[in-house]
Amino acid sequence: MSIKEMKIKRWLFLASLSILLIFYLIPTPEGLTYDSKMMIGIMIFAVFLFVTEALPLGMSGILIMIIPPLLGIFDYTEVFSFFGNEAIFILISGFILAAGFQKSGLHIRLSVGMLKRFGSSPRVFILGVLLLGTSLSFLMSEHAVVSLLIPVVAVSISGVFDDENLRKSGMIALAYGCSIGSVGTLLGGARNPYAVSFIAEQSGRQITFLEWSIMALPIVLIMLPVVWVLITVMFPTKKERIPVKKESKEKMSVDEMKAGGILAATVILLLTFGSLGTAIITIIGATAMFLSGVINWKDVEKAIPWGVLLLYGGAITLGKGLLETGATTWIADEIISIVGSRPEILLLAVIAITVVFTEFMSNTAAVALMLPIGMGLSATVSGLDPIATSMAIAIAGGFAFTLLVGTPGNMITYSTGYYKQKDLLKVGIFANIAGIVVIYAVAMTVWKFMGVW
Amino acid sequence: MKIRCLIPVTQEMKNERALRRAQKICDEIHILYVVDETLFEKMERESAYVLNSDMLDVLKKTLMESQRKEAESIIKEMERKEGVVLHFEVGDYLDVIERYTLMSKPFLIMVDSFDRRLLSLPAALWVDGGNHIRTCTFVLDDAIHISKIKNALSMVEKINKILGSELRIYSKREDVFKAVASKYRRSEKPYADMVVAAKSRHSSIKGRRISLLYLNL
Repeated sequence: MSIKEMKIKRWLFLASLSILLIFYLIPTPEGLTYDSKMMIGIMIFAVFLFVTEALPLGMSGILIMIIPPLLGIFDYTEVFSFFGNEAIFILISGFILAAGFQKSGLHIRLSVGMLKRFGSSPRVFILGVLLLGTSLSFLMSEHAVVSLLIPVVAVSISGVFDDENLRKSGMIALAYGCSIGSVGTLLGGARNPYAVSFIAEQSGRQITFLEWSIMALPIVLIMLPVVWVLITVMFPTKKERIPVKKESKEKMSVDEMKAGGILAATVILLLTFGSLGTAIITIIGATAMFLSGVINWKDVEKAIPWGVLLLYGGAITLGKGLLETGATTWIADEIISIVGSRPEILLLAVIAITVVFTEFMSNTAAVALMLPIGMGLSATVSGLDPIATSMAIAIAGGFAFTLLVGTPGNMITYSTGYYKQKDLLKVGIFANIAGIVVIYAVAMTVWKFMGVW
Repeated sequence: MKIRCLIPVTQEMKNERALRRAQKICDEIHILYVVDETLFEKMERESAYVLNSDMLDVLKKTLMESQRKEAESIIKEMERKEGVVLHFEVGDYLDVIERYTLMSKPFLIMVDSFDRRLLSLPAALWVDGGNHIRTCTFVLDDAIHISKIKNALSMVEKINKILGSELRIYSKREDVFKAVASKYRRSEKPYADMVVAAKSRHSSIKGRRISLLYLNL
């Protein structure tokens, strides 16, 4: 980072602190207490930090944790106990499972094999990339999937030097496929376990791995063809066929078999014995990765992105603080005064706001900010189900299709040089609208039919 | 006299019109593919909290390789292969162009859209409108050195010959016109499919969908 950038970051950080100071000095509005006023101040402070990235996101997360005790809103011992949350352990064990999968090289075999099955037609190849990103993001963090699949997809499309649109659509399909897949299971997007633990704590309803997948998969299954059509229409390819690389006939290694077996067994356990607890089953799976010798502790040390976990500390503090001080009720009342109190309109508004938020900040941060507000709205408006609202927010938080800063997957695929920012903007706006419509439609029909609300 | 050009290309600015034109009019084409030095920093900043350092290191190498392949695809897509040289650089856009301009001493820097920063470089600046050039007007400045005009004119004449366009001269001063350009048709307006002018006049020479050539006069 240059000295100039460093200076800008410092000024931005000071500006973020001034938000807290302003909230401290202004008189408490009617309907709010000192605590709830300051929690709203902390929320705006967090939004500012998440958007400007004046501090690395993980650092912002732990900073947000210590501010409520400093302002006398929470006791400091209580704040640190927030880390004792199931979501954190689902994430850690999920990262360990993913590390084993990655180290064994099974992802490469699966990716190359899968892309080959989709043949040499460019349009079908794009569908293959979308499905590949989606399916692997069911099992591990979508950002890791993007970075692991970049070489595989790049090798397939770099040979097509005379079709710029195919290169563009291939890379955008990879980013979008991973984003769509990340909402499908609890092992995908890191915000999913957080949403589950948030729902459990606030409504007492424990959503299992299977329940989450059943609710989220219709959205995934509708979004995939929608996005496929969008990409192939926006970037029509002039090629009839693309060269398909010959698949190596190398035998599957023992480690690949072990990693594949453990991962499959973990998913089967999650689907059949989900009531045991997602964290417990994934920890058993992670332990098996060690016992089978696929990974060692050094691999784990390298594999865990601590920033995500630290960001969770801030997210949990923010959520609890906003709810327990009554700030969410006040925010909910303000939203109702603008949007009205019809639950259908409010749900649509909440989904749309989350999609807009997630374009400007990390997916997790957007979900962390919106979940307490959604819960506050559900508590205020009868007919707005807290589980449906929270699930809709968690899923909408994964649909950052338009801006590079929306999700690391967009930035990583852009850095290949294969497409321009305006290409992502062009297709992303429509994908975002489609995402909002699909989440809303599924929530209003499928989830109601399933008896979620 | 050989026409050597430099075409800067970035991920965001492919300068495709300039590339097409250069294949017709230039003897030597230097394509300079510049990867923004801050790109990987930005990528790292956005991804560092979700990817570990090992993954980031591998990713950076893979991305650099992709960028290189993207640069190579420009040459592969070109109809003309001879006299085309590709340079691949990571750095600040303007710094890299400046370095290459001083190094390869091109007569022209060719781009698709006007960039004021490129005017300060010691080469003529061609802003290609992608249009069919049938007429070309050379705008003679009032305070121009006649010797410089003569040199520039011979180059512009060569370009016009290749393009098959008619070269006209726009000049307010009769003596200048007679001294250097009397053999050409005189233009009433400083406007044509292509306008050639001194860099100092760039703000007064404008037009939509035309090509512009700014010279160091």
